[in-house]
Amino acid sequence: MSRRLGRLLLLVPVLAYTAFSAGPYLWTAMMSLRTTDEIYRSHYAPPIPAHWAKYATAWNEFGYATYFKNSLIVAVASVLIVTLIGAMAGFAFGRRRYHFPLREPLFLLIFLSIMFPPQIMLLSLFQILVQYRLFNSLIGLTLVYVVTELPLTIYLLRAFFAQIPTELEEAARIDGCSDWATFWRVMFPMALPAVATTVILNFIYFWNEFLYAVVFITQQKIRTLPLAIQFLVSDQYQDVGMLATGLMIATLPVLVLYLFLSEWFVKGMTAGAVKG
Amino acid sequence: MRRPRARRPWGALAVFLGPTVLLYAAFTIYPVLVTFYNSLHTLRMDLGMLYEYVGLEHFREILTSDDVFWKAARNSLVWAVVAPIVDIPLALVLALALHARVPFARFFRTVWFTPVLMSYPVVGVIWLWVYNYDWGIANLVLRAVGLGDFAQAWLASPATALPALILVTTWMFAGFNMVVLLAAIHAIPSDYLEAASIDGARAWQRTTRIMIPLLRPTIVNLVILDFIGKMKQFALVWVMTRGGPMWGTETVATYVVKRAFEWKTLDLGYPSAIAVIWFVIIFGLSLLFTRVLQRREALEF
Amino acid sequence: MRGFIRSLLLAASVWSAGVGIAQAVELQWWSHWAIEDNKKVVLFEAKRRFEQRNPGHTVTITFYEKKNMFTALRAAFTAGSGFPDVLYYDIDAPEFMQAGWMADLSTGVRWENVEPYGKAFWTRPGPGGKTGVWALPLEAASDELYYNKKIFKQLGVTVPPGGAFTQEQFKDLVGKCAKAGYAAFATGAADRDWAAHYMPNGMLLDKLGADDTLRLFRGELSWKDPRVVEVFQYYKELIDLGAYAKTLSSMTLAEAHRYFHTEQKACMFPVGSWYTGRAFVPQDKGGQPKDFELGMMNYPLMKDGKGHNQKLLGVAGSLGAAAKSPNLALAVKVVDAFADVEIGNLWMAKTGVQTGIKTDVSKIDSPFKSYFDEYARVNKTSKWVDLTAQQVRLQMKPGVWDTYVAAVNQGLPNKLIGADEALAKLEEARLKGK
Repeated sequence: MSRRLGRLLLLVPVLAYTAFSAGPYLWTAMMSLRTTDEIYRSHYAPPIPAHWAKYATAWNEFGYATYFKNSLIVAVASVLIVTLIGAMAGFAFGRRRYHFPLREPLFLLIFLSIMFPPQIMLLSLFQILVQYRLFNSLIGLTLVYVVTELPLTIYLLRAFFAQIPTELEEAARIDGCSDWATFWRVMFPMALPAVATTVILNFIYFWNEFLYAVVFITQQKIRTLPLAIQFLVSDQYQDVGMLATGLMIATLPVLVLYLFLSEWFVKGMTAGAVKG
Repeated sequence: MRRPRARRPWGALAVFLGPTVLLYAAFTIYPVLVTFYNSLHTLRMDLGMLYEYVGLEHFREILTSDDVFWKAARNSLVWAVVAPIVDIPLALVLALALHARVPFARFFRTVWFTPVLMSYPVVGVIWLWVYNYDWGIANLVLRAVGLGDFAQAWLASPATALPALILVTTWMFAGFNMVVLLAAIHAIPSDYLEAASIDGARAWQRTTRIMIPLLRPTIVNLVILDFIGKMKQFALVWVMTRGGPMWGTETVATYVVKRAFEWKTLDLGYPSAIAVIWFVIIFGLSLLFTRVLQRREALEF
Repeated sequence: MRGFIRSLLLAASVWSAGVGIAQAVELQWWSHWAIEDNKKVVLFEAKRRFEQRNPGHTVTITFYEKKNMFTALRAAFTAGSGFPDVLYYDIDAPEFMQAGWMADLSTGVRWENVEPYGKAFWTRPGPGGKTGVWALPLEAASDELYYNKKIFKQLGVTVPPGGAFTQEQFKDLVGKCAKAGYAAFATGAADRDWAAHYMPNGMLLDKLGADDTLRLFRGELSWKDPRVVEVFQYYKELIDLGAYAKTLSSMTLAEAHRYFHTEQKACMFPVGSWYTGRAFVPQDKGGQPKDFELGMMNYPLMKDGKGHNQKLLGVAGSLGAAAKSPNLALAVKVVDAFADVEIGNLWMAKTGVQTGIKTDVSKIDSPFKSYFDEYARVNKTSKWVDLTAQQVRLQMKPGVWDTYVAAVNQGLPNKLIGADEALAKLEEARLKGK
């Protein structure tokens, strides 16, 4: 009985935190359906009438379709590449079979790059992209994104691969599988929960990345979504209502992806990917 | 049967590790080396990337006479130290609440994670509205509960601007830390906890004496990731305060970008030197924390 | 034989079509003013004229948020690729000229249709010290002081005939505003580094006169000069009376406009005369209400001031061409499309903002006529000085500018520091020489 009561009491701080956590976003969602005039007259009133047409306007008038498409291309491509490369590397770093003398220092070196402030990379990456003629291209941006998230991805997947029992590997070998086949047919499928984790984390990062996108992409046609938000912010007529609509459009894809994959996500995290 | 010593599968290794090493060499090692090189020169972007060797001149200037750098360094350090102290305990409490099977746990878990999904520009704009003096939620709530005297222009004073921003990043990432901790809690074998309760330990004791120590490696990881992340903080400041008021929210990252791209002298050398110094500091401190916080066993697995 | 000729003709027509297609150029133009519809009208008119005079070639305008645009331009120019042919340009990025990124427009533009001061503004040393004319002045603006006539009536304040209050009267006015619950100035400094500079700049100019003010900004005069100290101490008194709103640092420039003319929470608005570009649009687009009574006055007269009647006027939004553009000749032609009295007239009629292009006032048919009259009245005796709040940055060394922003745009008006501290910081920055 007291346990039930205890759980109900827990609801109080929990609800308080939920209000804190969800409040700002809900407010934005409401504002996205109102005009700026309505908002200024009463900042917190519910959206009645709800101007659904604003979403269409934001989409068309501000060229959202283009930015959306570009963000999608870059995010999906980056996720695919980093997952593939990261899984292979995590596998090689995590299984005892592939141990070689300098393996641990090499892994540490790669992991350490998480500590580099993006700015240390920004200035010289800029020079390098120009040199490789990858400046102002989605390919260049994708490669930069992949490299940025590779260390974390490898770190997470390596931990997961490390705790798969060796019997599975040996069984596959006895069946005549090569290393490559073992990896793809047996190990990788087992790692899908952890992979789902990295996919979500990476997709969020790539979808939202802002610094490199601002500096490395100057052509209108290939600009990504975070730039579009910056575009509506400040400067001109502060169309709060339109801005809110734009923000909703920018965040909805990631929200959907998360809701879709959230079960896998928790499983992936549970599967030892976070033990020290 | 004695198993013959297997040959190292170099072919497979090359395939598995090759792409990583290549990309890393081209896009990480090389830029870092270039940055180190740049820091010893002035590099004029407007004069077609013209190099001029100046030795340690930039470093001397940064360390001895650049007030803004020190302000920025202080802000970044404060952020990086305070944030984990606030984030992780909060996340732990939330995770424990969910673990204690509060009603609608799954709903809460989902909602709490949502801020993690948003990008800095989005969050920045929303919170600029929240902190608006006249009609923002923050002051509105304060006024509604009779604490109207505390309502202020949060982003207008150096004393409140940085804490205000730290609150925003806490809002953003508490959900992430919570999910990680929750997963780690689930991973604790239930026999440990059952054995303890059979031995008569109450819920509170089970939590503090058994769970938390077992969560220690996870917590340490989260602390270090949080620390490193905040030392690099750029985007939120850029959107909300651009370093103001009076450098109260200036971080090393924003200062580097300003020196590189906004000062009339388009010199990349000086900001490169700043970046080098800062990397050394982050690296040093992270190593220190790792040594101090982690027990030896945690490094092996 | 016939077959041969036929195929020859076919080949010839295909070839000429190919050549024709190959020669049609699509020029890229990056512009500011994305949501300033009235200014866009003028841009599109120039584009139309260019396309009419140069058939086959088209221009695509891409709108940017200004700060990001300049960051992107810097990156693109440095990289040597990805930059536009035609660009919005203003003095916020003076290094572009030195770096040789802007095309010299001395030839190729009909300067006879441009005001001499406008051309002179853009005639500056470029790369290697060579002088050139680097942009065409479209928008010109002066630093003005607008006020809300209704609030003044309510407070029982009348503006003196000359348009300017004395120091004491002005302080009195600020006090009255604050007591009635208004902010004296509707300034919003969240997204502009110079938003709160108008008042100090105006008062410094009045006290010191143009020459000494420029010397001060250039770092040749000390910030501890007694006259400068007097101005700042007076300014601090105004701030302490409640001159600025508490939302100063969370309000953007656009919101400040709204604060002034729609919410009417402030008595005055020190801002550039491009105010009209934003305010003279329909109300649902953020413009001022039909019944808003806009007044104009001059900056307060400082005691023993040397610079009475001096006001700041500068060229703002301009058009330039990229020096390394592969279509340079055509890009210059796009810029040249603006060099017409008709364009000048259109600009003034649509935006109510001054232009650096020559105009024929008799031909301007504008709903803003009463505003132009008021403007002329207030500025009848104004002696123009080539500088605006935004352009002070050009005069100052970067370190000093940084401090001027932190201390005078953020610290001082938010009551974070006092006049002495602000001046001490500025002097320290000046002595560092960076």
